[in-house]
Amino acid sequence: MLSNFPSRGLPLSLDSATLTKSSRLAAAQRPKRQKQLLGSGGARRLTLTPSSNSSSVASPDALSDSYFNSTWKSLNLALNNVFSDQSPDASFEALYRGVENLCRVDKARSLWENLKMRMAHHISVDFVKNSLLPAATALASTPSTDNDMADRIVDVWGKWTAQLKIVQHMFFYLDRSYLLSSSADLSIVDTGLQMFCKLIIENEVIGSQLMASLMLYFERNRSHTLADSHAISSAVEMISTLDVYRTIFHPQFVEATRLHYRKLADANADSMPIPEYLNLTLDSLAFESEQATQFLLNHSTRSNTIASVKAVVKAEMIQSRAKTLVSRGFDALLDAEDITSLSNMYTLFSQLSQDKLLVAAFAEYIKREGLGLVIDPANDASMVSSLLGFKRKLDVIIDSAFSGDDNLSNAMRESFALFINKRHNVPAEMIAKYIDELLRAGNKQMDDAELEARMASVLVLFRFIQGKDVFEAFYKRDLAKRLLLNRSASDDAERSMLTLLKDECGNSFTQKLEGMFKDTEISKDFMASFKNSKYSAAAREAGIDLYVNALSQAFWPSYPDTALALPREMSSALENFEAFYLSKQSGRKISWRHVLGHCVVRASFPRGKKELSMSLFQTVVLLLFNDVTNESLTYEQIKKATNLDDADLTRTLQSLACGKLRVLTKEPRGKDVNPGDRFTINLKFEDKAYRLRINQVQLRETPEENKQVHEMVKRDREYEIQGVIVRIMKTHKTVKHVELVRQTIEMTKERGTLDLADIKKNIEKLINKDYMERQGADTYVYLS
Amino acid sequence: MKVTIDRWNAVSTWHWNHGQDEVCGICRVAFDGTCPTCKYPGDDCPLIIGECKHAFHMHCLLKWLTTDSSKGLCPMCRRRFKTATD
Ligand SMILES: [Zn+2]
Ligand SMILES: [Zn+2]
Ligand SMILES: [Zn+2]
Repeated sequence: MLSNFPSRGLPLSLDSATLTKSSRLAAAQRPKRQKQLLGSGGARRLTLTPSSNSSSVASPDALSDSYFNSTWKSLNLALNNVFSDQSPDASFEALYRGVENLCRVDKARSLWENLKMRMAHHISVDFVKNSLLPAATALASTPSTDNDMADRIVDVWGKWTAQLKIVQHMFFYLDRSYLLSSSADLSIVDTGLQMFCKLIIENEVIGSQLMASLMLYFERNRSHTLADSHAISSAVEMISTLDVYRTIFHPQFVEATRLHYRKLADANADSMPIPEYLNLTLDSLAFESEQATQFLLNHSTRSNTIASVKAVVKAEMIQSRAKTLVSRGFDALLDAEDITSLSNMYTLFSQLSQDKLLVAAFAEYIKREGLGLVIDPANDASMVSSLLGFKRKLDVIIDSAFSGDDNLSNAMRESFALFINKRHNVPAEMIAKYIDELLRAGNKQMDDAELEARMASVLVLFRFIQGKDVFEAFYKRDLAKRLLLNRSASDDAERSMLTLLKDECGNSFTQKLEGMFKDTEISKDFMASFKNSKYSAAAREAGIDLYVNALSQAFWPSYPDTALALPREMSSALENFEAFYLSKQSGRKISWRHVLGHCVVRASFPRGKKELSMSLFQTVVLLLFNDVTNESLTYEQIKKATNLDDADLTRTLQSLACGKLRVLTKEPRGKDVNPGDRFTINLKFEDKAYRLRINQVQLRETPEENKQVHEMVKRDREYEIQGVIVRIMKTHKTVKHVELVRQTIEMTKERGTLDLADIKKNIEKLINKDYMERQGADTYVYLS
Repeated sequence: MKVTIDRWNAVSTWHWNHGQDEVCGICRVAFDGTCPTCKYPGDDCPLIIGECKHAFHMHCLLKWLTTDSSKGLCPMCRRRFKTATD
C-alpha cells in the first residue's frame, strides 16, 4: 500500500521523482506544499543532525513514567506547534534526542501510541470537526453547484502532508528503529496518510461531498467553464496517493460520465440532425479521452479510465439510441449520400456490434427505393439508367462509408435480387433494350473503354434477374435487327458482349448468338460467288445491287411470312438468287423475310435529288409513285398494289407521310392513317442532307412484336416447366405436390420467375398427357 | 418524280425440304437445328431420309445404327433402314 510514498527511506534522501506523477501538467501545477513534504526546500526546511550531546530534554537515566511524561509533554508541545503551522519552540535536535531516548528505554510502543492518538485527534478535530464536517454537512443538506469541497480538502491535504513531513523528521528515530522493524506497524507517514484517508476521504459525509464537488468540476470542464483546473489535478493526485483511485474515484467518475452523456443523449437523440449528433458523439469521445489524459495521473489507471468513459459515451449516445438513430436518419443519409456521416455511423455501430441494425435498414432502403424504380410502367424507359445510377451510388457508399463490409454488400445484392424480380419480366426486357442501344450504331458516341464499362455494369444488374429467358428473347431479337439492318456499332463490341453473356447465360444461349454471326459471315461469302454468277444478271439489269442474308432459322427469332407484292424486276431478282442458292445447297428451300428487307433508294424530288435509306415496305410503296407526280393514290389502291396487311401498311404509310421526314403528303392531314386517305408525292420535300434515313420504323419494336416475344417466352417456359416436372417425377417416381412445386421453382428460377398457377397448370397438362397421375389428394406418381 | 432502287438488302431463311417444323425422331430437336453434337446446321449436319420416308439428323441415325438394339432398323417404323436414293 501507499506504494508511491517512500515512507521508509531517509527523509533527506527522498527523491522528489518518486512522488511525482508523470503528467506534465500535474508537474507544472504541483503545489508548493508537496515540495515541503518532500523536504526538498522551502521556508519550513529542517536540518537533521542525528548526533549531539547537548540536550534540553531529560537524560536517559531518568527512566520513569515521569521522564516519559515530561519528554512527551515537550514533544506534544512541539506537535501542537507543528499542527498549528508554527515552528516548535524546542530545538529540533532536542526533540529528536528525546524520541531516541524514549526508544532506547523501551518506550517506543507507548510513544507511538501517543503519537498516533495525537495525529488522529488533530485530524478529527482540527480538520474534520472544526472545518470539513460542518461544511460537508451543510452541503449535504443543501446541495450547491458551488460545492467547493474538493478545494477545501486539497487545502487540508496540503497542510497535512507538510505537517506529516515534519513529524516524520521529529520522530525519525522511532520511524527508523522501532516502526521499521515492527511488522505490525506502518511508518509514520503511511500511518498519517491512512488516518487522513479513513477520517476524511472515507467519512461518508465529507467523502461524498468531495466526490460531488469533483464531479461538478469535471462538469464545468466539459462545458468549458472551469476557471482553474488546479483543484482537479491536486484532488486526483491526492486520491492516487491515498490509493482510492480505483475503489472510490474511478467508479464514481465513470458513473458521473454516464449520467452526463445520458442527459446529452436525452436532449439530442430525438431531435438533433443525425450528422450533428454523430459529430457530437465523436467530439465527446475525443474530449473525454483528452480530459482523462490531462487529469488522471497514473498511467495504468488512466488507460483503464479512458477505455471506461469511452465505452460509457458510446453506450449512452449510440447503443441505447441505436434504433432511434437508424429510424430517424439513416435513410436520409443514404439519400443525401452523406459519406462522412454514414462512415461515422458505420464505425460507431460496428464498434458496438450494432451493425446488424444498419444491415437490416440498408436492405429495407434498397428494397423500397429499388422497387420504386422498377414498379411503375411509366418509368420503364428510364428504368435501367435509374438502376445503374442507384447501384453506382450504393457501391460508392459501401466502398467509402462502410469499408466494403461484406454483410452490407451481401444485403445490397440480396435486396437488389428481391426488388428487381418483384416486377416480372420487364426489367429483363429493359436491360436487353439498354444493351441494344449501347451496341446500336449512331446512338451515343463513346469510346471503347466507356462502352465496355457500361456493358459490364449493366451485366451486374442482369445478374440479379431471374427471368433470363425474357432477356434472351429480346436480346436475340435486337441483335438480329442490328445485324440484318446493318446497325451494329462495332463487331468488337458485339463480340465482347457475347463473351460477357457466355458467363451469365451459359453456352446454349451464346451458341445461338454465335450462329447468328456465323450466318451473316457465310452469307457474305455466298454473295461474293453469287455476284460472279449468271444469276446476278437480273438484279444488275434492274440497276439493283442485291445483297441477301440467308439465315438458319434455328438461330434467329421467327419472323412472319409477308405476302408482299414486289414489282416484277424485283421478284425476278429474288427468283434468280433463289435458283442460285438451291443450285448450291441441295435439299433446301428458302422463305423471304421481307419485314427485314431494306433498300437505298434514289428519288428525284422537284426540289432536289435524295438518297433514302428505307425499309422494303416503304420502298415498295414509294415505287408506286414512280412517274406519277400529281396523281394521288388511295389507301385501298396502295393496299391492293402491295398486298400488305393493314397493320404493316398503316405503319409504313405513317412513316412516309406523318413522320419527321415526309416524302408523301396525306389527305386529310393528321397523324393517323385511315382507310380512304389519299397520298401524293410531297412536291415540297427538301432537306439539307443528301442522304436521309427514314427506315427507323424498322428498328423500332412494335407493340405486336413485343407481345409476340413475351408470348413466345411464355410458351417456351411452359415447355421448360414440363420438362423439369418430368425430370423430377422420373427421379423420384412418387412426389408430394408441395415438394414437386418447390423443386420446380428451384430448378427454373434462373430462367424465369414462375407463378404457382403456371406450375399447377402444367402439372395438369402432364396428367392429361399421361406422363403422371394423381395418387390420393396430394401425391403424384410417374408413369413411364 | 423518279424513284430507283440502288441497293437492296434482302433477308431469307432456309429450311430442309423435308420436314419443316418437324423434329428429329431420335434427338427431338427441329430438323432445322442441329443434332446434339453439332453446332451449326446445314451441310455440316445434314438430314438423312430412309426409303420408309422417315428423316433424321444423319449424325443421330448413324449413332443409332451403331447400337446393338438398332439391328439396322429405322427407329420409327422398325423396317430395315435404307437411304432413299432419289
Ligand atoms: Zn436428331
Ligand atoms: Zn450433327
Ligand atoms: Zn421408318
